[in-house]
Amino acid sequence: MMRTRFLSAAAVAAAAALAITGCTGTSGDQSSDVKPATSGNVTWWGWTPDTPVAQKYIEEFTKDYPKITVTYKNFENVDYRNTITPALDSGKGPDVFDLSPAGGSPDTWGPYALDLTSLAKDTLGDGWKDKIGGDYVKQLTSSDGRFVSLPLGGMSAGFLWYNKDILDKAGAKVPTDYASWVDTCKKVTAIGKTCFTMGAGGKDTFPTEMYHSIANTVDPSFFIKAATGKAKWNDEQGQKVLEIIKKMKTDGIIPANALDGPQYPLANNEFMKGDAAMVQMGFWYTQYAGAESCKSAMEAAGVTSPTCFVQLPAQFPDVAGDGHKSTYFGEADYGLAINSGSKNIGPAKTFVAWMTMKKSGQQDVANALDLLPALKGTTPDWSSISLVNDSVQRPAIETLIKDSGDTTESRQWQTTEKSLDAIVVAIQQVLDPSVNKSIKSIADDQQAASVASKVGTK
Amino acid sequence: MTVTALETESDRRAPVVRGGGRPTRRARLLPGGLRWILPAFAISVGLIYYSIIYSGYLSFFSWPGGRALMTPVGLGNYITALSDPVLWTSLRNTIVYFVVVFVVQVAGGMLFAAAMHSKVRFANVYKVLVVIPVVVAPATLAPAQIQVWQSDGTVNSILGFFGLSALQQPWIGQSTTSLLVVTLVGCWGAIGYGFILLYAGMSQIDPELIEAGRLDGAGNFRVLFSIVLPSLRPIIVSLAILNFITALKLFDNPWLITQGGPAHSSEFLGTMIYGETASTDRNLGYASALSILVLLIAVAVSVFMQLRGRERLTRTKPRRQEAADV
Amino acid sequence: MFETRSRRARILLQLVLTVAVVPFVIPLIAMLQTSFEGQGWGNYLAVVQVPGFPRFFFNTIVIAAASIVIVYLATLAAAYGFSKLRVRGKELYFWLMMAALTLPEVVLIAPLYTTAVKLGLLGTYWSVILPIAALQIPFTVLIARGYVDGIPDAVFEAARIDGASTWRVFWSILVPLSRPIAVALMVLVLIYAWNSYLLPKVFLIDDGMGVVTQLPEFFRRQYNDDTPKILAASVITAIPTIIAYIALQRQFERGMAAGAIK
Repeated sequence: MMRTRFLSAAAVAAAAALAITGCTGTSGDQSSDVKPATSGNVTWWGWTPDTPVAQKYIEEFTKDYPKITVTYKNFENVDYRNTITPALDSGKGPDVFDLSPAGGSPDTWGPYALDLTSLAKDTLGDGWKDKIGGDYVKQLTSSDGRFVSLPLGGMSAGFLWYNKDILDKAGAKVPTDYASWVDTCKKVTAIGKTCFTMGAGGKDTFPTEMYHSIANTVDPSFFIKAATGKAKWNDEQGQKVLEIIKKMKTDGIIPANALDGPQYPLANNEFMKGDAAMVQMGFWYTQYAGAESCKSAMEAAGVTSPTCFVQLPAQFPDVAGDGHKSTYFGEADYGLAINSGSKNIGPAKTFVAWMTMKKSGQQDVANALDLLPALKGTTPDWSSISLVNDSVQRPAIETLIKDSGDTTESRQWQTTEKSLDAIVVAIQQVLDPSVNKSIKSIADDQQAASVASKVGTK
Repeated sequence: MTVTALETESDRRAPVVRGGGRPTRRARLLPGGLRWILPAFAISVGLIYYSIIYSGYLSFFSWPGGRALMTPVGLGNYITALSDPVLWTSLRNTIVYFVVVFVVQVAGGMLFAAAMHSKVRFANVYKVLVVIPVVVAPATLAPAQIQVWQSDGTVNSILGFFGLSALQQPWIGQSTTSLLVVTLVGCWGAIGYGFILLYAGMSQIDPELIEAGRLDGAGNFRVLFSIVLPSLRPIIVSLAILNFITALKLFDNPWLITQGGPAHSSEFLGTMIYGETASTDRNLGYASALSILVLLIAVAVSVFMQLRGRERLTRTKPRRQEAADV
Repeated sequence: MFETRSRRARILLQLVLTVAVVPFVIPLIAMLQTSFEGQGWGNYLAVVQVPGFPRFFFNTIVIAAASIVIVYLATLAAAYGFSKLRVRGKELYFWLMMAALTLPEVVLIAPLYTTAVKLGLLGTYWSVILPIAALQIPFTVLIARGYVDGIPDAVFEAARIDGASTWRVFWSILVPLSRPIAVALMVLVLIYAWNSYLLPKVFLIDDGMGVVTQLPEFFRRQYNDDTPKILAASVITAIPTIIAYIALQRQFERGMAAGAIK
């Protein structure tokens, strides 16, 4: 009897599972007529920004809208995905949540979100699309044409950061091509510092930025072509990239401990401790040029009573030597989406509009030196920012911002996760002293494990 | 009174080997056992079985989660899984990990437990130190472990100190040694775990048995192997099952230290499943298929182990009963 | 267990033990060392100053205590049932329970969430306590059953001959005799519940419901974790479990003395 009862319970459970998962629900476009409100409670979930940064944003927002209370909850990347889906499904989700262009998120979580076209139009007018930078709007639109997330800011990568103090002490120059990089590294290692720190262990996709930058010096259009299936990763250009990486290790640019761990904490801590002269990081690293954040970053890396060094951006050296400048790549980092099942759509709209489209909100984003503001024309208010060395860093950062804004190449939007993972595995096999495969067979395996992306192609 | 006494007499004399079954004493077990096992059964099965069925159902779909489309793929996920070389690497890693950790756990745990049952100074300090890897969450100790195995870390320093610099290498960053690191870290945590359970198990051993052994002239290790080990068999079989299941779904340490790398050399099914749910390109149906595979393998192997363990148990039991009557 | 007749043997044993313990100590020292980098004691101060700090401990204690009680009662009862009583289809029940052990936690989240919502338990302690118990019970029953198997039936016989009911036998014989293994298992359940991260993270979202495993999260950043403070948080979190283990060890010694099979 117990057994039959058990079986029927199992059947009920299975039926329930069917009912829940089969139900796709309707996207709440009926609630897009709710007007932005000036009072209420808003809950916001995201994997970014960090809690202290979010709290600063919220503080500024509350100055303009004292009757709206915003609470932010931060999650680790993976926990975020695991938590938000069941929460949204069961109707207990947040009012506002992060939504990025990566990995088809607009299609996965877009159905839970409102179409924000009307909000954008109401706030910025009919020409609203041109007021938002880059391709961000396109990147945050789902494949059924709904604009599901208003971009907060964009991210760019493909350049190096260097520690000016170390280079000065070593009497070395910022490298511009392969030979000068080898030379600089000799000088830096002579004074006992690591030349270029890199963490390529684990599953993080940071190494793909390295691959992308090198590929851009070999053939500027290769990376995106290979990512979207118009070229193969094991074509001549792909093999050349892997060969260059191998050479960089033998010639002492890439350190021997590159596979000891991922970029964070390995490379970051080495750089922040002042033990390494160069590291490849994206635009988010700009914030550590700030006097205060530099100090806390160094303390977090384990330095007691730190003295900040001057960090500056530099173009990625032309390692292929064919005269191609390594251009930057970037895309929308993330945006804010409004839960269509939320009971607080009014105040949520006010908050999202303020953060993404109002000057005051976007100014905070610009001043944080972490994201490139989505609203065109917003530049950092330098009078309220104190850098470690203003005269040297400020012009460099301004150039970086401008160059990043000009980039037309996407970073991860048009590369599937499988392709990114395949790049990481290939780099690991190239750098692993115990692996004896030929470059060609590594590249062949890489191509076999990759999946072409259809995003952004006609 | 007479009936029960007679039954115990005859049971002791009857041979009891019956492939996997308990001795025929079952006839005199009290009825009504069901209500005793029901609470445990209801809680564990009730809560988890919905998840098992849900995962089973999901494994026949391709689905990124959320409100995206669920595409039925029949056995597609299973075929992909079984033809993925990374899966077979994971299974190989699982077996290696299981064998090494199990042996070290039982040997190390037993030796420590035996030592703690002897007259040693500072026993309490040792007991705490051995158990710390168990008590403190893996997530906490992982950064320290990473530090130990770095190219410029503790292990390489010690090797250099003892003049073995030829053996220094980037332990984590090599596909040939990454599994070794994960396994050794696993052993490190497993010994304390085994210690806690084997220490408890040893308390059940009749001290007279040990005395008898010593009177017969057995040395320390003889006592350990011939008297202590057999009595701990049930716990050891349980540990074998637990270790195998743990090795199958192993996640914490490999993820925190090597993330399954480099190039999948230290991948386990647990990290594969987590990696699938963690990626932005995920297919939850595939993750479910992997979980179902874990379940099937785990149950099959566990049943096998329990049956093998039971056979030995019934064979040795009569001997123990006789000894106890001495 | 080891007999050390001569002084030399005693010293040898002590020495071997000390050397054997060294690998256990090294990562610990590394952990403590790193927790003092950067701001030194300031790291610990920062951890204690996290808003709602006592509340985290309170919640964890509630969850751990409830899990332990539930698992303890269910396990001993089930071990008794599987080992000493007659149940039709006993092995089937046993193996169905064992199958529940095999699923990785991450796979359980979505279905457990739906169950919690349907039962109205979301955001309550039960949404975490019950899954923890459900995940630990198969393991504890597996071990406890083996242990109880090792208690000679003669002991139970004697009690029943004296006219005791099954219930009485359970409380007066099984419970005291299984104390060593019960204590060991409860320590392991405590550790599991105390260190539980994923379940509380997903199910206890509300303010004021956080658990101690979320303390290090305050110092995690998207990129730049503040590792010294994270480790300081972990040290603070680990201390109660170590104290509990030591206290339970005492209990354990008592149980062993009483558990002599006489």
